[in-house]
Amino acid sequence: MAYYDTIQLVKGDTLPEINLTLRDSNTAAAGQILDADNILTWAPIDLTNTTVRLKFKALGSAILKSTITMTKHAPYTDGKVFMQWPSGALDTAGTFTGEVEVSYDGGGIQTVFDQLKFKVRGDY
Amino acid sequence: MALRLEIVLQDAQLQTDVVKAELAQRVYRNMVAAGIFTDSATKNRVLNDVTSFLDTATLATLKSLDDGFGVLELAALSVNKAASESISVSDVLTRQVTYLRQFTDAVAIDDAFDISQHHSQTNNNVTFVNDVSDFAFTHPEAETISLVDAHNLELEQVQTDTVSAPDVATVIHYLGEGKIFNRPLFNQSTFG
Repeated sequence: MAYYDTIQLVKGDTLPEINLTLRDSNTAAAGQILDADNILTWAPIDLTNTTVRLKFKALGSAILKSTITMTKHAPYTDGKVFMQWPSGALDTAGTFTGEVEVSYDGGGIQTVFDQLKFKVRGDY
Repeated sequence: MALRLEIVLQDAQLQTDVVKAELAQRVYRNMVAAGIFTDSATKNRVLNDVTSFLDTATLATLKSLDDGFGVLELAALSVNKAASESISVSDVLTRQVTYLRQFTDAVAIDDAFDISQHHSQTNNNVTFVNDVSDFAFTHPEAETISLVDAHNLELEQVQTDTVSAPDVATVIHYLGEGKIFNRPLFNQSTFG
């Protein structure tokens, strides 16, 4: 089970905002030569007519703690999305994981295989 | 010598499988999250424009239910109240009309006929007819109608009698006789 680098957060916060770009590592970006070690050569995924969500749960738990809809950058063709933490999402300290899911309006769903990892410490 | 030849063929087969695996991995789209970073001073703004039509939906639903409740109330009135409540409606209309009519009809005929037995005079025959009708109505509703019809009929009939009384003087002369003056009666009436 592969994770991206752990994002460190503090309980009760609503920041920082999470930004990421969805790309296809098997397709070269326009004008680029595909290089497996250079993410800038991977083609961004067109997010037109899609909904991107982050499913958030405690590490090892089977129960979702929160499902957060991520906001797309217009005009949606560069694969960029960001997410702001809703109130209550970070109300518990611990280690959490998240998966990014893309739902197409036509009914298709594709989820990023690797997961995000969050470490939330207690606040004062 | 024949055994060494077979080993060379296996190496060539293994190389072929590796190439096929490489091609299959590049066919599907491998979605990855790249360039993940956090931003505490973001300039991203999320605009939420939420329009609620809950008010309209509530009005339409509740009004329909209230109308249906009105039907139930009608059913309760027709069944339950009939057994425990008695409703009596009495309406008495009295109308009394009294007519008091009084007709008074008085007819008086006074006929005086006088023919004077006088010659060479005009006889006067005067007839008087006096008809008086009195109608008196008394209405109990404070209305009084009084009709008085007075007919005065006066007829004056003048009769003219012509009486002719010719006087004829006849002189008869008899020869050898003395003169005799024959005088007829005067004022001889033709009425006998």
